[in-house]
Amino acid sequence: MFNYSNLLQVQRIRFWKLGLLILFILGSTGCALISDSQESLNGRIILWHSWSDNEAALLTRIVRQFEDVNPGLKVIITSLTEDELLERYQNAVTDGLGPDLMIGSSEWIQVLVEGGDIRPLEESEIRSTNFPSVTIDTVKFEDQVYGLPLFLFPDALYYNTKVSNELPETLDELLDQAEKGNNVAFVPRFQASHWGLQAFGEGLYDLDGKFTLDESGFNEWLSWIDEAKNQSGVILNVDEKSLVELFANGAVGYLVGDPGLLPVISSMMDQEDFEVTLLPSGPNGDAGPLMPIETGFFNPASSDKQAENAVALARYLFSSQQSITFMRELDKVPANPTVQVDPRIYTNVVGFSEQAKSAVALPNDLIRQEYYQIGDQAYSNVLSGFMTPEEAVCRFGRQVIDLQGYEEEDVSLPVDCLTNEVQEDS
Amino acid sequence: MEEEVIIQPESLTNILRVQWDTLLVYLARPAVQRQVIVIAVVIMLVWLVPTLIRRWQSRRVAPASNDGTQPASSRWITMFRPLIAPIIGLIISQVAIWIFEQRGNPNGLLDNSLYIFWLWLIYRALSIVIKARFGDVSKPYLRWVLTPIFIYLVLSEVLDSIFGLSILGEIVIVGGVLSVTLNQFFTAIVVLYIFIILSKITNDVLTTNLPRWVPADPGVYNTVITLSRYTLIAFGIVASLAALGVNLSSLALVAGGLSVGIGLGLQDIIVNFVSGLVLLFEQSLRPGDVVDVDGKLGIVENLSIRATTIRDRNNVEVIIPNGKFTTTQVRTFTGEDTEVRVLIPFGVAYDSAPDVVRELAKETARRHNLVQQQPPPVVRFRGFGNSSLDFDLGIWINQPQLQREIASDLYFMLFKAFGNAGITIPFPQRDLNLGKGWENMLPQLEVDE
Repeated sequence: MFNYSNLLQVQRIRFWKLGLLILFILGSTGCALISDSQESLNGRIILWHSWSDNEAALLTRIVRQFEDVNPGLKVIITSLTEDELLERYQNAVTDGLGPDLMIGSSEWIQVLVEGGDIRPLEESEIRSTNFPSVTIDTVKFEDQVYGLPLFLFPDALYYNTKVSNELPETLDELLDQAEKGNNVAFVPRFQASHWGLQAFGEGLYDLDGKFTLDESGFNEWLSWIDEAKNQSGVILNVDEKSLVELFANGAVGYLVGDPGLLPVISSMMDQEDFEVTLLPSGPNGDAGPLMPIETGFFNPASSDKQAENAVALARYLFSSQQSITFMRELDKVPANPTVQVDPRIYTNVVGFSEQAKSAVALPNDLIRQEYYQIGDQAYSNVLSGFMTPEEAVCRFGRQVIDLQGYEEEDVSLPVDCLTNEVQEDS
Repeated sequence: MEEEVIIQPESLTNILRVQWDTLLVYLARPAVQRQVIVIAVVIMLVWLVPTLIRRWQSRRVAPASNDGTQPASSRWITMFRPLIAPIIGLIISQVAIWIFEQRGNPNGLLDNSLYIFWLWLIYRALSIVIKARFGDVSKPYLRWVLTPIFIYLVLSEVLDSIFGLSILGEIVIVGGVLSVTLNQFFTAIVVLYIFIILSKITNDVLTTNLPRWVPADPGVYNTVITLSRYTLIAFGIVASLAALGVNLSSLALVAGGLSVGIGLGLQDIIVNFVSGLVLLFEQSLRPGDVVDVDGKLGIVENLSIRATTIRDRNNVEVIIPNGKFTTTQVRTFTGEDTEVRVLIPFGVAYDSAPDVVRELAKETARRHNLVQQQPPPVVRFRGFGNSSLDFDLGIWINQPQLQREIASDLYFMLFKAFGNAGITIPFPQRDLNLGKGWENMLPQLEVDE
């Protein structure tokens, strides 16, 4: 016969086991709370990054120094590949998990803000007034600052010290150099070649954030590239890797690239054989490359204490002393404006650092990937002879308007462009 | 001087400590605490509600009839009761997610718990369907296949959401030349497990269906089944080593070098293993054979690659290493056929008529239903014993394992038949002949007494 009391007894035991499990979970939560509630810099935080081995080793060493300074604090460092860092971060924050501090690209701000995956910083946390406007604009979204800028990534001009005797300061001089056999190479795509727009015009956005093409210089810049492509000594190729190889073996004297190429080039040629200088200026002034920034992002799910610790760690990485360490050992270009880059010591970093002063920040509300694709099409349409620069710029403008949903009052297109639009519509 | 940073593979203790620290970081977050508390409450309700339903059912539902069968409604409730817990989990989790979304709180962990409840529901529903369709036969398959898949999926989900499988998977658990990551180790285990399960399934399928597919000797079936099982396991071991990142060609070289040592160290096992292969291929021994090993008679129950199991007359299973069958003399009563001759010796008194005895014994033997009629029983006059005329009753039987039982039966029957016919079975008698003068010894005997 079925013994009901036995069943009840078994169920009581199960109940207690379940109760103990839940108590354990809540107890662990409580422990974490207790350790989190003290006032000094202590507790545990998580840091995610996608730095390569050497970079990661230095980062770990500096973080351990930070722990030594704050004995109550423990930092759990996790390294991920660049491809998975953003996706994993977004998924983790949805769960309330993920790192308290993530080092990532400023170009992720739009997707992260719209997903509610990063928290805005208070003025007291970042002291944004200390930064150059271009730096702070790069990490801004709708007037809120969303990260602490750590390292800058503007394009600049690598040159081979054996090949080049005199540095070109203008675009015309650059073409002269190319004609003399000191080949010039760059990637003719929107991001990599944005620097030329500023040399010919005011850029794609005016001071009020209005999308303006008529004075942008885009048309003139595309015309310049269209002519330059036929000149001997100018190599335009979307395969950056092959351009780097040409530069390393001396076939190219000038190469446009960002600081990310430094470790690759350093591994292929002697340090004294190359240096970095400013990109050549144009009729309108200095070149204006885009400037992605390696930024410290903060998890909105962190507790107050964790957030405080994460900001403290980010500020430690940002500090002058650590910025110099990163610059000295990894050629990182510091975003910290108080760091003086000595041109006699940091011969490569100084080029990028100086170039950063004329860099350009595009608004962070751009749907960036598609925006860049539209820009790339403008370059390829012109270089393939499919469109004139004017047509390519007009088409770019209309596509951007569609993509971003700009209102009429937010846009300023060239008159010809509007006429063409009417003709196309009819 | 700059401090040199060398990244070394972390010890397992460090890895576990890091994971524990990570867990504590997460638990310190209000966003996680809220979700953990809700999940704990959901688990509690998932346990509590079905328990209450069970109690209610045991009180309210009509009791079983006299023949033990439950009413239809009660049977349905009992059958589908396992689905109640996951369904409750799903409903409550979904409501909690909705509330969290309304409040703008992170709810990914609740989403994960929802996924786990879905898995649980599917697992239980599948179990019910399979059990209903295939009955108790399906239980091992549920245990070997469905349950591990369910556990794997749940563990993957939990570990991935908390720590990240890609991070955990890259943890090196064995350093040195043969570097093994947790991912490789887990894959190797899974691969081996899959092959073991495949071998079990193949074994069952072949055991059930092979006699229907291919008419052959049972011994052939056993050979095919055993070899297929061990072949699959061997493939599993190789595949699992490959998953661990072991270079199989270098492994072959190492195995070649070690073979001498292994041959000496594991000599007996290898002899038994090879003998097992010989027995399987030679077919000299098959399940069901009646054999006599070292004077012990028994039926071969199972032939495995290392040892053979024999069930003796006392129903005791004796496991004999296969080497025994290839190195010593083994009598088999079921080699070509199962017919054996059994001799039953007996004796009758000297006053019995031998012809009558012969006919009576043959007739008695013929009456036993396990004695073959052809060849017919025979009686041989063996000789004149000390106190009896000695005969052998020779009979043929086709169940050699029962020879002692049949002999016993025949002795009972012969005793009865001889008694009815007035033929006596003598016992040993000794005649004492005394010489002259024995009478004079009587007084002496009396004095002694």
